[in-house]
Amino acid sequence: MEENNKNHAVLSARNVHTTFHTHGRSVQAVRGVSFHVEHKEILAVVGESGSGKSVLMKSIMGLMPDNAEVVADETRFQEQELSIMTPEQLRKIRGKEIAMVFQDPMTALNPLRTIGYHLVEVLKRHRKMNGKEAQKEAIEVLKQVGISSPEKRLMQYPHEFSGGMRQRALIAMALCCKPKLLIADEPTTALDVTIQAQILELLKKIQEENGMSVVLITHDLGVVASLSHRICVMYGGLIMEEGLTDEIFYAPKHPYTKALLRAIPRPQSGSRERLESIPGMAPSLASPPPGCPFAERCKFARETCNEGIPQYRVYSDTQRAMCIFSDEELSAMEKEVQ
Amino acid sequence: MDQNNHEILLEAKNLCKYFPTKDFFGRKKAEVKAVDGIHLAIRKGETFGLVGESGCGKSTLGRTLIRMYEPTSGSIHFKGQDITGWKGKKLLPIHKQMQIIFQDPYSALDPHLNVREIIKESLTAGGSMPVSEMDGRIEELLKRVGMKPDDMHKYAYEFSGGQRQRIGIARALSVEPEFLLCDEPISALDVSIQAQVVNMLEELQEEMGLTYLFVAHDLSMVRHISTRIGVMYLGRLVEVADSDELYENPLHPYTKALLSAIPVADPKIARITNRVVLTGDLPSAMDVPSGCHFHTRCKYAENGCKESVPELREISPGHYVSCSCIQGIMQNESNTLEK
Repeated sequence: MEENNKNHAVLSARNVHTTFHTHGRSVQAVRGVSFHVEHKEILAVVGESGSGKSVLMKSIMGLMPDNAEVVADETRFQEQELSIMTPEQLRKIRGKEIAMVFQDPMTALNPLRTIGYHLVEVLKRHRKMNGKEAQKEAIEVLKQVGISSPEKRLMQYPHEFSGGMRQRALIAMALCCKPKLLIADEPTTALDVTIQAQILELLKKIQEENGMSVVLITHDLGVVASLSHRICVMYGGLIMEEGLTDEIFYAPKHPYTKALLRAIPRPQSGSRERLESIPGMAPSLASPPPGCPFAERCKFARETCNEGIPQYRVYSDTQRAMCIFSDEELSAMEKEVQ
Repeated sequence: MDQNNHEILLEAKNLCKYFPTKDFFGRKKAEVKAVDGIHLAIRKGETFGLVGESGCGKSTLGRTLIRMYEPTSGSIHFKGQDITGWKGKKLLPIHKQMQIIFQDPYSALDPHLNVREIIKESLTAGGSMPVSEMDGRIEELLKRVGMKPDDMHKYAYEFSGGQRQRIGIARALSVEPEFLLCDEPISALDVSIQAQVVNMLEELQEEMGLTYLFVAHDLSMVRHISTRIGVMYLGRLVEVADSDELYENPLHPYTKALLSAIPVADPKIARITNRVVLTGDLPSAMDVPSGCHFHTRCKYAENGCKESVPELREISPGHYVSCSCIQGIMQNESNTLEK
C-alpha cells in the first residue's frame, strides 16, 4: 500500500526524528513519523499543543533552529530529496513550490512595508517579473483571495488590515507562485468563527481551482471535518492514527482518537450530558515514556503497552493505528468495563 | 430547583460602559462604547452563556457586572440590592460573592507565590484566619478541584495549563462566592483538558449551587454548558434565549450567521451544512454604525435599520430578539419553506 501511494505523493517522509538540544537536556519532539501527501489532496495533521505537528512540518522544510537535530530516512518532494539540498536550493523550493501560511498573521508581515511590497517582492524573486507585471499580478491574487478594491489595498500597511484580511493577504502571498503544496499551520486559530468560516471556504476554493495539495495543521477537529480528505492524528511526537476523514470520524480505531472525539460536545445533541474527559495530561517529551505515549491516560492500557513503541495495525488501504490491541479487542474490553 | 429557577440573582438595566480615548495632548477624543445599553437578568443557579466575536464587549459586560469596572450609566442589582453606586469597603462583601476565573491561566497566577500563598491571599482578604485552619481549608479547596494537597507548596510554573486553571478556580471558590464570572476559562486549553475543566465546573455548580456567567467564543462548548445564552454584537445584546432554543431556532440574522460558522466536528453534517458566510469584518468599536449596529453586514437591512435602534423584544416565551425587521424575516422564511 505504502509503495503504491508514494508514486502519486507530492511529499513523502519516512521515519522523521527531531530532537531539540537545550541546556544539556534533549526534547524529542518528533519520534519517528512517516507520512505522505497525495496529489490534490487536503491532509490534516491534528494534535494538541506539544504533539509535534508543527515541528514535523518545519523539520521537513528545513526551517528548524540550529539546536534542533533532524534525522530522517527520506524526505522527498516530488522527485527531489530535501535533506541533501543546500540552504540555497531549499530556499528556492520554499516559497515557490511549497508555500507556507502561519498562525499569527501580524508577526508574519513586516509592519514597515506595504502589503503590495510583500507581494511584489515574492513575484520578482520567484517568478522573475518586472515591477509593472508584478504589480498587475499582485492585484490579481488579492482579487482571488477576496480582498475588495485591491488597487487601494496594495498601498496599505499591515496595521490597516484586520486579522482576517491579513490572513487573506498571507494566503495571497503563498499563492503568488502557484505552489504545488501549501502548508497551512493553524491558519484560523487567531480568528473569530465568522472570519474562520470565510478563510476555510477560501482555502477550499483555491485548493480546487489551483489543483494544489494542502497540509492543514490544526488542533480543531471541527475545522478538519468539513475540509480535509485524510487525517493524521498526532500525540507525543508520533502519528497515533491515520485515515480518511470519514474513517477517523466514524470508525476511529485508536483509543486516543476515540477519546478525543468524545471529549468535544456534539453540536446536534444539545444534551447536558457530561463530556467524557481524558484524565491526566500529555507526557513530557524531555523524558518520553518507553512505550505508547498515550498509555498513561488510556483506559485500556495494560503492562505490555509500556514495552516499546507499538507497531501500526493496518485496517484498510488508507487507515492504520498505532495500538497493540485490535479494534475488536478494544470493543471487547470496553464491554467488560461497562 | 423549580422555585429557584426564576429567582433573579443579578440584574442589569440599561447598563453602559464607555472607555474614553485620548489624543496626544490628553484631551478626550472619542468613546469606545464597549457596553451600550444592556438589559440582562441572570437567574440563581443557572449558567448564562455570553457569546460574540472578539471586541463585541462580552468580557467588558461581565467585568462591569461584577463591579470590576465602573459602569458609565445604568444600574446593577445583586440579590435585589442596587449596587451600582457602591464604592470601596462597601464593595468588599460583593466581591466575595462574585468571583472571576480568567482566560489565561499563565498570567492569572503570581509566579512569585506558591499555591498556598496564592489561595491564602484571597482567603485572608476579609480578615485573618488561624494557620491551622487555613491549611485545612486550602487542602479541602485543592481536593475539590481535583488536585493533591501536596501541590500547595509548588509554584505556578510547575503546573500545566489545565492545572493552573484549577488553581484559579480554587482561588475563586475560597471566599465561597455565589456567582462566578468565567471569562473564556477554556480557550487557552487543549481539547482533552477542556472537557476536564468543563465537567468540573458543572460538578461544582451542582454541589455548591453556583451561578455562572460563561463568556466564550467556542460556541459548541457554550451550548453544552449553558442554560440560557445571550448573543452580543458591538456592545449590544441582539438575541437571548434558552440554549437549545437559540441553537435550533435562531432568529436574528447575526445569530444565524454566527451559528452556521461553527465548525462541526462531523464530516457528513459539515458537508451538507449551508454556511451563511458574513461578508466583511466587524466594524471598529470606535466608529460603530448608526441605528442597528448590524445593518452594514445584514442582508435583510432596510433603510429604517440605519436610523432607529431596535429594542430587545420577546418574540416567543423566553426568546428575545432585537431586530426591527424580524417579523418580515420570519414570514419570508416560512414562505420559502412552503415553496
